[in-house]
Amino acid sequence: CEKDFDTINANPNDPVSLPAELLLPHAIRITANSVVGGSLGLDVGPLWSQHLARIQYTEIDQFNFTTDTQDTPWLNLYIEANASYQKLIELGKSSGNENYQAIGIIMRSYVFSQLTDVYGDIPYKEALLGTQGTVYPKYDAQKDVYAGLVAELKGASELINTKAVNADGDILFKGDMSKWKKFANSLSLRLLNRMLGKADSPNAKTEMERILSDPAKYPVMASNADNVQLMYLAAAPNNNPLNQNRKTRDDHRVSKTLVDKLKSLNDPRLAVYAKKAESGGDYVGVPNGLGNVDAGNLGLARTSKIGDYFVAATTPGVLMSFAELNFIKAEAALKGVTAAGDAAKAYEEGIKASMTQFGLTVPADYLTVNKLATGDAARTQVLEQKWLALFGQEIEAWTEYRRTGIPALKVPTQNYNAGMIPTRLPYPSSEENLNGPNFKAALAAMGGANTMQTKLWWAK
Amino acid sequence: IWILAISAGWAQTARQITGKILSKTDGAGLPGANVLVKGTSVGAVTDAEGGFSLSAAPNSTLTVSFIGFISQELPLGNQTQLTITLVEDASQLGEVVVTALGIARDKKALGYNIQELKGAELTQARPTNLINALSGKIAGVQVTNSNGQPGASSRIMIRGANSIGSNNQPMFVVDGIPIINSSNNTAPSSSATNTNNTTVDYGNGAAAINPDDVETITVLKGANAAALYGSRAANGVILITTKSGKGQKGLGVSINSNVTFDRPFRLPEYQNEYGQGSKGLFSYVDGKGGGVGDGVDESWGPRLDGRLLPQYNSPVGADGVRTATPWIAHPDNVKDFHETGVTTTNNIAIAGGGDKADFRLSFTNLYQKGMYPNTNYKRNTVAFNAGYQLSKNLTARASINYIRDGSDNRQNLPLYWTWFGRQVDLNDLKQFEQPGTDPSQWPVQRNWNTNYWNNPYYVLNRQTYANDKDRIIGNVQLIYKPLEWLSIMGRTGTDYGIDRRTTKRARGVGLPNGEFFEDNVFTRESNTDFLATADKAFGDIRATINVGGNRRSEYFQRDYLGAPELRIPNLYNISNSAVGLNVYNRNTQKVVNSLYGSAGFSFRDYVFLDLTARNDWSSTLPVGNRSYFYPSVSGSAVLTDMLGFQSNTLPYLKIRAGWAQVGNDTDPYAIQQVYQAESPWGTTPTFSENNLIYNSALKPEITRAIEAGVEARLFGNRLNAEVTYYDKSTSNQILRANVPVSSGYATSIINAGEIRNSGWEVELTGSPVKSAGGFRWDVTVNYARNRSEVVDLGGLTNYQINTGALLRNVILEARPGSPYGNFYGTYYARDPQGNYLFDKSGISVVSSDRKVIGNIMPKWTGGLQNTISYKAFTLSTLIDVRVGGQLFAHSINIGRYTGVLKETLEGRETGIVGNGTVETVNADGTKTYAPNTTNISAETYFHTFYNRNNNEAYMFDADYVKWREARLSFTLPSKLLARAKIRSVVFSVVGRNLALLYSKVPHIDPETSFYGDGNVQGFENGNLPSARSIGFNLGFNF
Repeated sequence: CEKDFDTINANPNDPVSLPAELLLPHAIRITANSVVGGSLGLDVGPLWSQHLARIQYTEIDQFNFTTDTQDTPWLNLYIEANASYQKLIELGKSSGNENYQAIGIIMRSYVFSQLTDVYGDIPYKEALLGTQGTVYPKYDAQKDVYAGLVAELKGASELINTKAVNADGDILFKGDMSKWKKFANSLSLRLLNRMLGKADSPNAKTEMERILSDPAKYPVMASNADNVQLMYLAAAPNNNPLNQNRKTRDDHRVSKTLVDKLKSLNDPRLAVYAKKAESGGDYVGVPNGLGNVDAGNLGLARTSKIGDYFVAATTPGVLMSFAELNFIKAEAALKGVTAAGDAAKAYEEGIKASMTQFGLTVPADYLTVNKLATGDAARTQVLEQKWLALFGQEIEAWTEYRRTGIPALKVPTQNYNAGMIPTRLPYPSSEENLNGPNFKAALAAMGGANTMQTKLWWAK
Repeated sequence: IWILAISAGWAQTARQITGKILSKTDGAGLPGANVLVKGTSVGAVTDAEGGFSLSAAPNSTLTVSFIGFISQELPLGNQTQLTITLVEDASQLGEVVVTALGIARDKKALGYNIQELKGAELTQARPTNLINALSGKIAGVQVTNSNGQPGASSRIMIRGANSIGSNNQPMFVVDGIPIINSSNNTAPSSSATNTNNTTVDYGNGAAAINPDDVETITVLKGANAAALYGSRAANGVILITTKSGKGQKGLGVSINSNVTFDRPFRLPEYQNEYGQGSKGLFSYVDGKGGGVGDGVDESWGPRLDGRLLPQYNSPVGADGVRTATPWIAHPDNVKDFHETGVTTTNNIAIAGGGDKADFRLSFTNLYQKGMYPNTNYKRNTVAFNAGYQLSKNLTARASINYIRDGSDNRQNLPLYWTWFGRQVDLNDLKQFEQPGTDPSQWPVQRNWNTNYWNNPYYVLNRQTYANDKDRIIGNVQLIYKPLEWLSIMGRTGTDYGIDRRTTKRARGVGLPNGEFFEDNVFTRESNTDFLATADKAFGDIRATINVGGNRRSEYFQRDYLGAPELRIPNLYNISNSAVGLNVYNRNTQKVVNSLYGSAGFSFRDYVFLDLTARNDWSSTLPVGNRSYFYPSVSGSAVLTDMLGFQSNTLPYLKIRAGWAQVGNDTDPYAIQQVYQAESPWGTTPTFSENNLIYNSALKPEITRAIEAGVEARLFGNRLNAEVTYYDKSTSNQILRANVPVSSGYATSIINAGEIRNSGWEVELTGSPVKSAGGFRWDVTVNYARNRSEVVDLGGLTNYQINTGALLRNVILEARPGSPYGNFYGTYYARDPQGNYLFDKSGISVVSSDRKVIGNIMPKWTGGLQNTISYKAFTLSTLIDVRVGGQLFAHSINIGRYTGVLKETLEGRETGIVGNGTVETVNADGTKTYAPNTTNISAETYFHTFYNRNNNEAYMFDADYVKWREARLSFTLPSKLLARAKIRSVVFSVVGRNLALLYSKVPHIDPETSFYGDGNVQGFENGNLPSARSIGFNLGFNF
């Protein structure tokens, strides 16, 4: 009575095994979409770092939003992106191609770093092991996640060898493993920079020195050509998410905070980041956190939309830029990491890299007018320039603001977060519902309720 | 010449005969009895008083028959007027019913409860979906009509939910062959990028069965009755027997025509004093935030006092400036948007029979025009059923139903009038395109809002969801009776359907360049079975043995191709896609082989014992767990016969009890981990790690059930009572349990958990009045109380029933210790006395955590049917009751939030002080509570007290009492018909869903299901309400 049952119940639709590289395009696409688009890339990051402001549906600009905002990024980053990277690591190991293993580790580390920067403590060591029997992972403290990621990235950088990687599958670097190596080490520097000087991460400085003093073994990004960015395609669903969003929505304007700052610096990036108001006239930023009626009264046509460059279909989604790396070096140099070189040089390189990235040349007097000062003022200058350069890398912009308080942002008068710019996103309701005990333990460890008022470890 | 001569002779001497047929028991006239002139096709059916009239030659013989009575043959002699008295057939009092596998049994021999409905009861109130006809008529059967869209699905559930994860609906069997009832309503989403798709209800499979062709429906309520069906029996079985020409003498033609008119059963009560906007302000520029409050689709704007304001339809001058127009109310805007739905059903059937052969051929056309403009449902059914006795002991039968149904547009516009400007004149929006729009380009809409909504007329005319489904359900069988006591039946049948769904949506809000989807759903289930039956008496003992086997094979295929953005406007073809296609391409198959047998023993026809056994082999389970065995045992005793205490007060008393075990397998391909296809990156295909953790060690689910009952007839058969208790429990449930996504996976297929249902069912049938004068009053009462409890979830704290995009993030779950189907969500923060908490600015506080805030399961359901007949008139009504359980009413809370509902007029001019307390935390950590005194604007109050994230604010008790059906029919006196050679003419006025007699939910019909007929029940989403229908029916029998 069971004749043919094995054939009948063999799934004809989905593969049981596949070439490793076919796991990459979807995972990379969803990774980029989650940080460049979605609630993180379009609202949480840009609104709360005051790069953008809402002119319609302004609730989220006042920190009032539905739970999709916190649920969807968590969901996509864990099960769409990281589960596939986890699998890629296994396939790399079992097939003996260390490069796929390394790519898997680097991308998984990038995703974990985004998750911890947005939510705080996260399931990390026990995460992604569902098929191996761990379906209720414990949370790890942010400092342990950071330390773990730095170690993993070091391992990945060292794993990379000359074995071939399929260029079609690697939609980030077309199989160029040297760029993956640079990404691993540059990302390490981003993490280490946030660990630097913290009493509970004493090795941060040594680790930074390790990377910066041995460029042959631990190369880092050397130009904008090394930028970690997804070159989006023209047609949906592979176009830039902001482009897709603009097809049906027109809810965002450039923030008054950003417009005013760029104007005060006479910064040419204003023309790239923003458009002049449609009804004519100058660049007009919208203040963050207005109510719907007040924002609406400013007029859709009388305020500055996001610049055309950013809403094009093929605008790259940037995960990490050369400009950012220079500002990391500058800050590290100011904090006494000698291998980071001269702070002023790195600062200037950062400004140049940022302007070049957007097809601009640095105006003749820009670097002299904005010459790096010394002491605390220098750090403020570095971080303000970094905030300007991070337009389009919005989670990073919000993270750096939360870590440093620079630039000094004005909290919207009407807000739903006790007068604070959110310090984190609340954990998704699915964790409360399904992973209750671990969820509660994590909140207890972070010292607060599931609110947006608990300071994360690197901000303490 | 000889034949002609005879008929001529007959014609010359035929005379008009009139007569009356009475029951011997009470002397009352018997309506509906058959009178036939023997050896001819001349006959009549008695009218309401038992009268008949026909032409017959002298000395011919009349054959008089009526169900439940002994037939009589009566030589006519020279009489022209006669009175015939029929005697009740005691042996037929034990009514014969169809049981599992189509085995006909004497009802008194059954050790479990089953209930039967005759075709007439189904067609009485003319529902288009057969399932709706069961509502309120059978104890323990819960029917939910999803919405008022033409061709919408309905859900049926018997004795509560058995299974946490699978669909809980009974199996449907037509003429012995299982059919497919699945709806496949969910659009494949794996690679769909457009999120603007509304849920479209394509109807459930069994809805396609034409009520006009149904002879009887038998409901096997659970494992005990359905054990022979094995792994599909856990949720009960609906056995449908279609009409045939069996037992008919000669040729008969029947014609039935029906028209019904539909209006919305219930619409919300709106406020008509304030229009669109916010903070009392409004001024239109572009409908998406360019003006003042014109992007806000809420009604917190200026008072509708006729003041002049620029509106979307205000005239625009050459300078582009709008001339302000009067701001006035349109109180009936929503009501008038609904048109009167019209359903016409026309059926013609020809049936004939003789000694060896019988047949029936029927054609039915149904056309339903929906209550929303440009929506409809169409169905044509051809049914053919025939049998022929090939030889003394060999009979062949075949039955085939060809059904073609579909719609040009199925939509129910969820929440359309909930986010809304109350000033909008919907009538004006009938002009849905800007005049002068270039027809070769995408049309430009006219609308009050361009932020969220398309013009509703535009949606219904330019964004359509059509389908066209062909379905063939049929079987052939051979019955061989080599010996008097032995019969062998072989049968094969199939249910084959292909549903072509086409979605054409012109450019609109949220849809930059229009879209086109083609979705072909192909389903086939074939069953081949045999059954050998031996029936022999040995002295006082009679034994009936059945042995059978079945091979079931299922095939499913779905091919979905979507062009989410079109290049050339208005060209709906996949090759016109401007972007990557959305593709979904799957096929699945499954085979279940079974062997089964039953043995029934009776002793002196008053003690009965039944044993059944079945073994299934399912392809879906892992090697080693594929084979599983289910036994059942039941017994009954007719105490009145056994103990000999029969009396007129208690002519019949029977007790019965049974135990059964059945089970369930799973869907194909659940046991091996696979990767999941995603939209390609350019030309590179890509896959991802599956979100599902597969399980290579699955075992079948097991349901164990006990059932016991008492059946009694009282007061000379005036009152029949049947009481049943059951207790059943399903364990080893195959669950797709949600797991934290931090595990890398969203769902895990596990084998765990137990759910228990127990309850009482009472059915009472009585005839309080039965006068000799022809007046008769019959009452049927049914009552069912079910208690469900999730006993165990194998270590999971809860199981999430609803997945995907949740309404307001409320979770429908199963949780150990609770009944199945909890609503789990946020709630109002309260002080220790239970008062609502407000913050210091007077705003209602929502809990930061979640808890159980309701449950979908009713405590009890019931029905009350009254039928009064007097002479030619019959009046029958049905009341349907549901008590207990809650409903998530999305449109009500949002309608309060947006200021469109009547109650939002409170405090518009004065502000509102929320009724509750404010918490103060003292220095020592203690808390004190003082009454809230802060006055806030009505807009802020309704925005925050009916906070969209406060799930408790959406919960309502779902109890209702509905006047479900009414029918008044008039049978034409047979005297009038005899000359026209018509056997009977019945005219009736019918009504469905006539009134909501009791409900705790304001504004909406408490019987609704946004998600159609799946397990996710209890959600309302502002969809089209069900219809109140009134219609007329005319039936002829020749």
